Amino acid sequence: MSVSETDLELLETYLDDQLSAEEGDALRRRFASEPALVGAMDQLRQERELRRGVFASMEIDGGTDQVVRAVRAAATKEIVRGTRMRIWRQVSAAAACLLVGTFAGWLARGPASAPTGPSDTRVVANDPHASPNPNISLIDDEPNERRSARGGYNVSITDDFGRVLAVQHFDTLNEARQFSNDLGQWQNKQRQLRNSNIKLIGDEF
Amino acid sequence: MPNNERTFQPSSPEEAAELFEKAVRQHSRRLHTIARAIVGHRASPEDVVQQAVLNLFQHRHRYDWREPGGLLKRAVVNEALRLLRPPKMAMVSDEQPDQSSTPVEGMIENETTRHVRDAIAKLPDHFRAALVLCEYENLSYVEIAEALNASVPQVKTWLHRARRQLARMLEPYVAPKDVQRAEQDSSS
Repeated sequence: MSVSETDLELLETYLDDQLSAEEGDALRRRFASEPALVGAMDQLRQERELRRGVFASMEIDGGTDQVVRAVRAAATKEIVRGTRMRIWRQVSAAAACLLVGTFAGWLARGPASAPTGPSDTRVVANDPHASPNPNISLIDDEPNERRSARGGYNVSITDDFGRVLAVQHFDTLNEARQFSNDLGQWQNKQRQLRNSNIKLIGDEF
Repeated sequence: MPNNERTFQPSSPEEAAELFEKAVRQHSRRLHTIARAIVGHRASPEDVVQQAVLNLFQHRHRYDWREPGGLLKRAVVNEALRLLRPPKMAMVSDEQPDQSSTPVEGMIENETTRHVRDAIAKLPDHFRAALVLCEYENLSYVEIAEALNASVPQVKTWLHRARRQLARMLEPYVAPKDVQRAEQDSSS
């Protein structure tokens, strides 16, 4: 009786202990009636033992300490990296808070994009008759014909960029000067209050 | 991967290092043998095992560590096969002695063992890997398939073809039993 490749594979699977219980029983029943099958299995067992001996001869005891050292070094590196990242995150968070706080303070104290009032203005044109406050000025460069056409005097209020915020017209020079002085005094008082950090309970204006 | 009843993860690098050290010491001999059996003379088995373990350590979060031995063996197999993949590695000449052999091993190795070892080294890489995992590690076909990222029928084919090739290569050196093959019957 010949042993086919299929039977050889079946025997190998049997020796690998990978046959199901039914398949194993069926094969063992065949052993009784097929001596060639038994001979083939003995041959396969012999070859298998030879290979196992070769694999066993390849066993080596060295190298363990080397691997363990490498793992410890990797763990240490990871711990150090984690610690550094933690410190960096804390420093970055503190720096970010500082930056945000500084920027918020600058926004609160710095020049506003929109004018808040006469205290934020600058003089466009100087007039010896105007109040000593640089933010308020009499417009005295108005063409005579315009002044004579309208009559009176104008008091202008400008911002830091020279833009005219408001113009108030008065019929007489005294009225214009009075207005300008009053406005200037109010502006100075506001500035003093801001600089001295004092809050007014009442305001005569 | 969070810790729960079905999975286990080391919670810190220190705990991971302890787990790895214990597993490596427990399975070191077999890991090195698997590496050596697969890469043969083409690489250092110590380097294979070390690289495999380090790779596993760096990606340990992906795996369940209830059975570290199985994970280590799979890692070693994968690393060994990866090293053997093209581009070609620096080949060690057959004339050079085995890098990890000791004088005692050389003395006790007989000629048959040397022939068998050389024949195993000549097998295709996946054939050899499947054979090592089956006959040295005694893994099931399913476990071998998982380790080699293959199907069970593929593993069975690799094993069968590996054994047939070895039988043909070793025929002059191993006394055959009275085995008749279908092809011999057809030729007579």
